Amino acid sequence: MTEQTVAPEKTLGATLLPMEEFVAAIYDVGKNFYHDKHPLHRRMYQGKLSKEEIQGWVANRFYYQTQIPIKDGLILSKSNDKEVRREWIHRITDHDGDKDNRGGIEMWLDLAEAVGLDRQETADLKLLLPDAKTAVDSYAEFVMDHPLFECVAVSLTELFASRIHKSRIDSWPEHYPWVDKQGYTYFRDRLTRSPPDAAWGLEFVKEAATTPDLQRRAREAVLYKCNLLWDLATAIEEGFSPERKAWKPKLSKKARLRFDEIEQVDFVLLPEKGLKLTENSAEIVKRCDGEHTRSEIIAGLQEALSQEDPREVKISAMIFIDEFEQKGILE
Amino acid sequence: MTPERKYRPYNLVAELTYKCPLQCPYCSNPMNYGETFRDELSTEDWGRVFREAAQLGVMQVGLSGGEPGARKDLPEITKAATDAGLYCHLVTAGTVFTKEKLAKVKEAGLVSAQISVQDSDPANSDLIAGVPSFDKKMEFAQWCRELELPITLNVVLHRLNLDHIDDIVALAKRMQCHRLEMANTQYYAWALENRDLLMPTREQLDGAREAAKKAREDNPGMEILFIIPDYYADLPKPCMGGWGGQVIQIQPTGKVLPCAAAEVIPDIVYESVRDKSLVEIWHHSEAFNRFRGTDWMPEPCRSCDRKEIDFGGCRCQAMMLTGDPRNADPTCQYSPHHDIVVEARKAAERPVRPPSEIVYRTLSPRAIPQAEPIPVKVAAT
Repeated sequence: MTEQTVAPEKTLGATLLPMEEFVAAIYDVGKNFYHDKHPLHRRMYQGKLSKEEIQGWVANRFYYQTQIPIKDGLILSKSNDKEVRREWIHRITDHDGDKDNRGGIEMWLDLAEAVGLDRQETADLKLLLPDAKTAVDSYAEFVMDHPLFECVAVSLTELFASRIHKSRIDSWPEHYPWVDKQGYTYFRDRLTRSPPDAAWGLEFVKEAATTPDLQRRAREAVLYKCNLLWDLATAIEEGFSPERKAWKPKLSKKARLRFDEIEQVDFVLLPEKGLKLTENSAEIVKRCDGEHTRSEIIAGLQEALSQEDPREVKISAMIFIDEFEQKGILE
Repeated sequence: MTPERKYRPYNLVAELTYKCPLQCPYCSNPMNYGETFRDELSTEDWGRVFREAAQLGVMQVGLSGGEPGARKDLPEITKAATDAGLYCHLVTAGTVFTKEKLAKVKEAGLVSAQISVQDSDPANSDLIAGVPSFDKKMEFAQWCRELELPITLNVVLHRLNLDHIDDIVALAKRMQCHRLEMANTQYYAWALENRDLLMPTREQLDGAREAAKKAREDNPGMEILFIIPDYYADLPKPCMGGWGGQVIQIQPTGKVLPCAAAEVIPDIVYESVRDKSLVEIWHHSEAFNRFRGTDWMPEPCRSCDRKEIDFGGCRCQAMMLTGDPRNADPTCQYSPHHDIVVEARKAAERPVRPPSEIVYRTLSPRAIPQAEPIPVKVAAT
């Protein structure tokens, strides 16, 4: 009758991992911290976003699209190797377009129109939220401050991107039939462009990550990017849904938190079921007292778990809270 | 971990009474309960039992029956369980309450209520229950909503309602349930008596399973359980998490069992909380230790690599179908007695007894009601 919830896995960097384990560690970052698990995206695929929220996401995410060619231009300037530059340069034209290709930025503006936004207003960033801008602006700054290796590693989130594009293509027509189908071109386009870029990037990083420290920095770069995308999603979620921002999670009426003297662990008790909580999970549930917002809960948690990476704590906690909300344990 | 700690009960099923206005033909109460069960444990007895249970590690109590609402002291019993630190869940048909009584039980600490409904179709529900009851249950659910008591809807599935999954899910949504439990009848006690009438066809079961799967996808906010009949599984269930493993069942008179059906095993003496503490019974009684571990197992279980996974399945089913409780559960494909189950499945494909021949659960077993039954649509055969 009990289920054990999972704790986040450990960071690497102490010893040089065999290649297979290093790659697995990179994929684990995606599995645990990529924004497809963000409550905004989960609600998007379940058809729970309002038209305003969809529009808000498209408008703010557009700013991210505009910054991609800029950061790619900066990355280009870091390499002495013409082979690397030849490979990388198409990422700029993928977004800016050329004679054969409309380009990702124009395609995203098509999407904006498809969801009912004004093309010019979107291009002029009229709906851009300050927090979204902050999250996105940190990307170009990161690229300026870091060597080529880490900038390539940052792009490895492309390894996880196909599934998020696919989820959009799969769920939008059913849940948001009011969106004009021609708007999906960007998602479809990325399904073919993204995998070869990701594969090239992974090979580059694998070849270059020859020390424990480089392996650690590669993982750190991927985590940095996951965190950026996560914060962007949070900014959009809270910016366009004041009730989500104001939400103060608490245990629902069917749930009881109980410390078990015998096993010395906390349980959440539910009808005919009990969930055995890990120490960190219990820390989260105890803070869901109906008195604190999600961001306050996370701030308290980051302080209490100061030995852990605050970004990992934040993302894990938000996923945990979201899952418990979905199960009707938190409300 | 000491041997004593190896077996920890998490859940207590407190059968407060066998009185019940309903007469469901798959009732899990014993078939011989009759007059001997009038001598029910007192409020104080239950209070002591709950404290002993908590000491053993029990966290949750299902206040069950019969119909627990038939106990006048249900609020006091609920309070005693809550005071002992237990999470209280009421398992009821909901037909004997007033709103005031339910409010008192809630006030006493009740966390959630499970309401049984026999079918989404009111007439069929009443036919299966043996008495008009559907409307009362809906009223009870209304009170639960008003009192903000989370509702689980429980529908026991079988041949006569298995084609109604979509309607049952719709009913659960109308009732604003957070949880829907759809468990197929298992063939013990009264259900075994009615097996040829209740056993579904393979086609019915497959259709229902698909419908439940889809309902789960369409309703992420509702926890939807769908449990198949053992007879259609290829491997047995880890019954009760193993004999004497996680659950304690206490009868209205105080007799302590590892599960509701355990009395079918004839040579076990089950002890009573009237004579001994629950702690003593759980850890040291011959009854609870009889099938713990794996040393008691004969072949094919003894050499099976699943013996620590499913514990050889259900002892009671082995007893009922093979005459020896140590045998592998015949629902297991490796059991030499598996043909019994296969034959029962085959029989379900042929025309069966009409619903007018339901053997209802009554105080005097095997009585067939004289009233003209309501016509009911029986699944295609």
